[in-house]
Amino acid sequence: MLDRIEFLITEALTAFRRNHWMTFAAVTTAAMALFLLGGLGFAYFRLEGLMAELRQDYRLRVFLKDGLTQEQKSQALGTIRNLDGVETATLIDRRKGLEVFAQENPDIPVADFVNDNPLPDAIHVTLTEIDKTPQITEQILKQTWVEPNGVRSLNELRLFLQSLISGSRLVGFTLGSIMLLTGGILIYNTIRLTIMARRREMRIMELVGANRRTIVLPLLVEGMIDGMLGGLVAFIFLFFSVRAIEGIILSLDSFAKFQGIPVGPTLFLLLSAGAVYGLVCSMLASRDVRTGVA
Amino acid sequence: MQRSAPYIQFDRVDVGYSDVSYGLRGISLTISRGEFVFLCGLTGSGKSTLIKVLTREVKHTDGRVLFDGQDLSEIVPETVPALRRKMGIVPQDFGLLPNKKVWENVGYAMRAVGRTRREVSKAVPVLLERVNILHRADQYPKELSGGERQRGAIARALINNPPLLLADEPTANLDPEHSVGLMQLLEELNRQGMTIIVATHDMPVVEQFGRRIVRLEFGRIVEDVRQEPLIEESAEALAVGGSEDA
Ligand SMILES: Nc1ncnc2c1ncn2[C@@H]1O[C@H](COP(=O)(O)OP(=O)(O)O)[C@@H](O)[C@H]1O
Ligand SMILES: [Mg+2]
Repeated sequence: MLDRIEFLITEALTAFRRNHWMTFAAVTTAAMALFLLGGLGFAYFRLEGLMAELRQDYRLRVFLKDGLTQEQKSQALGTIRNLDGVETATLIDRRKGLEVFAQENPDIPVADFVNDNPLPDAIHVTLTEIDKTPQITEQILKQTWVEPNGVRSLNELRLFLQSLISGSRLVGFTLGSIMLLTGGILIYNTIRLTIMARRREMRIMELVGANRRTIVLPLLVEGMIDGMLGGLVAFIFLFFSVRAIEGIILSLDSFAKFQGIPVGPTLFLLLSAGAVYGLVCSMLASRDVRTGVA
Repeated sequence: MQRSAPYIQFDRVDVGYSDVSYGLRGISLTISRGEFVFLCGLTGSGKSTLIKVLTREVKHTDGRVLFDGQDLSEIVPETVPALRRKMGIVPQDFGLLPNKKVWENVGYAMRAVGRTRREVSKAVPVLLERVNILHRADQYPKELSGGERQRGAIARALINNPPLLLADEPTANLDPEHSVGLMQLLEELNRQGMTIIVATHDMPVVEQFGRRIVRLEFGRIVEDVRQEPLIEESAEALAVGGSEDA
């Protein structure tokens, strides 16, 4: 039994030495496919979970340019109140701003700033719907009385996550599908190349009465190894990209907590997915290998 | 063992490669166990096709083929390997693998039919000795003469210890001297009890051996003769030969 397995594996491994460029291309593409589909799928669920935990914040702050007249400020307030999705808008001038700041940050002594107030005049806005944040921000930024980049959302992390999720869903799925197909074709072609390169060996095996299993199994093993290598590379990519994304999130919200990816289960899943994927491709590629006409 | 029972029987066998091209037409032929038969004829006369019908590389399109009591029309893909283990095949087109030593070539084939490494290391020297190239075991095919290479291919055909050997033009690339030597090896195997069928168009060599000659032309048998034995042992084969319908 062990002896048999050894023969089949040796047979499969000779193929790697023969067409390593093709194998390289197949493994890389398979890795991309598994990374995009599996990895981003995983990230998607993780991010959604994270989203649910995050407190929702319906507030925006709009900073006004210096030197506006009282009338211009009221006009700005009116404009904002008329925007779709705005619930309330309150003018907080620089003096009041300092009071609010002092309330929000009781540890920081603000008395020093009373005479030299660094704050701009601002309008505090609350929204009816959190999803309207980008549109409202955009509309406010078009106004002449607003500071360049003068809109702050207290919800930046959420928005960042949201864009990640919708982005990863679309891009990941589309690219992933393309890669899955391409990778499949590449594995298929690798096996076809092996079949061509091993024509003599396979014919000799046929003629001495080897079973179809003996002839085809090395091809299936090769396809599975291609797929599993793809899974392994996908895992490595995933491991580091999750780290990177978590790094970004942590820099935005120091309250968020992360545990990285569960190494064992993720590796196992990606390897098995790769094995099945490679197996299917190599079965397709070797379906016309016969032991004789009958 | 009933040596007179038909071992191989072709009954009005046709092989059509397409509507217009025939490999064999109306072949009827009986070969008994222990016979030594030369299939002769020009290139394209159907020698390889006849051998390939027996090895099931080609399927006959009409008529009946019996081999060792089995009707070959009953063969399905799953039973082809078992059929082929009952015959040693020395193909015309596929010699030894160039990237493997002689003993590895034989060992590889044995591994492919499920023998263990231990079985291989025991059996290979015996097989190579049987075809007189044991002293070449560690050489690569390119380091061998044409005759030695063919002996290696014959050793490989013997791994299942088959009662039948089918050799397709084994002397095609050999000079007359080596051709005779190779045929003598086949005779020796025949003396040990194997049934031998050799396709060749090498008439001068064939005529030196007092053996049965089946001559093909355009896929038909045009002659089936038993030569006067020039070598003693051939008498036995002559005595047991069945009736032929040519
Ligand atoms: N695979 C094939 N497809 C079509 N025609 C073939 C094929 N193999 C052989 N033939 C034809 O069958 C005839 C017999 O060929 P073959 O058996 O190879 O003859 P030989 O071995 O005596 O040279 C020839 O006319 C050949 O062209
Ligand atoms: Mg031929």
